[in-house]
Amino acid sequence: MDDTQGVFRAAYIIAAIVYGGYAVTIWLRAKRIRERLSRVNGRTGEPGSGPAR
Amino acid sequence: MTSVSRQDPRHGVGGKSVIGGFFVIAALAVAALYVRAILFTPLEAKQGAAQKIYYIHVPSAIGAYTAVTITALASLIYLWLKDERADRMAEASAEVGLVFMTMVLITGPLWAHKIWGAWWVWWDLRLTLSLFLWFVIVGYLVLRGAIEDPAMRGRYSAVLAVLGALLIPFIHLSVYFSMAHMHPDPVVLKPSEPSLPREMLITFLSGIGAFLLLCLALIQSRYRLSELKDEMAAVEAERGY
Amino acid sequence: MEARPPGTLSGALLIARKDLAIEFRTRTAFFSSLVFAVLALTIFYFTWDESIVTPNDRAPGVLWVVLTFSALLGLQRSFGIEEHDRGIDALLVSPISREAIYLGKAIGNLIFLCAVQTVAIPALALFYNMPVGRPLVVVSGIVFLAMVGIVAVGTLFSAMAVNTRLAELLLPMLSLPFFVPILMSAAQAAARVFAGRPVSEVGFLLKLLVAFDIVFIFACTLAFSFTLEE
Repeated sequence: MDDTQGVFRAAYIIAAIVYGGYAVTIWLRAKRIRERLSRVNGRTGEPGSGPAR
Repeated sequence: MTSVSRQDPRHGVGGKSVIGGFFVIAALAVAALYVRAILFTPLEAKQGAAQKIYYIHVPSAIGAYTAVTITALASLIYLWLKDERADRMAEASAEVGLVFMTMVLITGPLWAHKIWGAWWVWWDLRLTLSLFLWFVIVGYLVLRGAIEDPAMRGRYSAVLAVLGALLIPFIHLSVYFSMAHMHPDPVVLKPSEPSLPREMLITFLSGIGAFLLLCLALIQSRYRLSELKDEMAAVEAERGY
Repeated sequence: MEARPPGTLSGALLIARKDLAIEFRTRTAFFSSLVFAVLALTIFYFTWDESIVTPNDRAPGVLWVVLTFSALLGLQRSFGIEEHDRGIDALLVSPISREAIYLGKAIGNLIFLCAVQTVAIPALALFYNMPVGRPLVVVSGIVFLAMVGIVAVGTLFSAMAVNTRLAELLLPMLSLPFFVPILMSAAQAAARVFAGRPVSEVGFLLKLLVAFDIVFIFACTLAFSFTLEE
């Protein structure tokens, strides 16, 4: 079998990148919204939602 | 999965991180699967290492179908009860489903190329169904992106999701009956032996378990993100932005 | 004397007549579809080497491409014409039921498509030297069944898309996966009929088409009310 190692490695690596990367995008998007929220709340003097635990 | 308190914009989603303990557990499960599949599972005689793609292809498909089922059910609940939590769940599940479905469409051809010699096989039910479901999910997410009013967005996307679910048996049957003559048995990509030897079976089943956990964990995380977004929208509406 | 509000079917026919009257005045969509059909027929004819793929083999493919694109053209218009003066509000306030609005639009679209195909199919047979006879009649029937499904789903998505920011993108994007089972079954059935196979052989594909049509006419009529909820 020629180069079955190649597709096998490609598949596993791509999967790790895609799934892991997707989790990271969720985290990044949440971070961005939290920052905007605390800025908006901070502007009116109210305490913002605290840092994510 | 708590509801957002609109009255007090000070409280974010309880300071809960989108990436929580559940996700960590799921990630560890997937990592364990990787280790087992790569190091401790024997190679299949005829297909070699390519067959190992099976251990992430099928679990990805199961994750994808689970996610879209959740979207369809949440959409029905939304149409019936108008609860925005159902709408959030539908959206979260759809996006996660898209990711899993994309992986099915990537791993499928990679494997198909090695065992059938072609990158795409139209008679493979799972691949073809996954392709068209992928389009439905993309359409669903684009539709959501194109509507600003939350009530209309929820209604329209819920309708699309339910119709999409209704579509599945028809795609299945039409592929089966129009492609049947091209291939002896319209099957799904699977290893050539009718049953897997014990070592491989354990890896396979743990794969399904690990990816199901991953799917649910990602849906939970994405749901929390939806809550944050809705909170942001509410705050902006309040302040007249 | 009290006027009774029109029943569903008569309401639907009223709306279909209105839409067709509007289209008949300008005939733009109709002629665009015909021009497209001729263009497609010509292009498909010249893109293949005649000795390798005979026109007879290509004909079924062209047929479905022409059908799908003229359908999308017509569907785009179907709720697009209401956009201009918010005509849809007038329809909603009228005593015509929502189901009738949907069915009326769908029937209008179906008649439009039939008109286009009445020109396109003979043109196809003419330019591709297809045998005119029972196979062509059967295929026309299959085309009609496919059109019903296309119109059922397309009319609903046209109504939804017109209310969004990306109307022209959304109609084809949402419709594509739904057209697949229709086109797959219809195209396979038609190809086999053209190749001389008996109709009984394509029985199951035809039943699937009819089932799709029935299921989605019901589902989309119901869904339409949901999309118009105030």
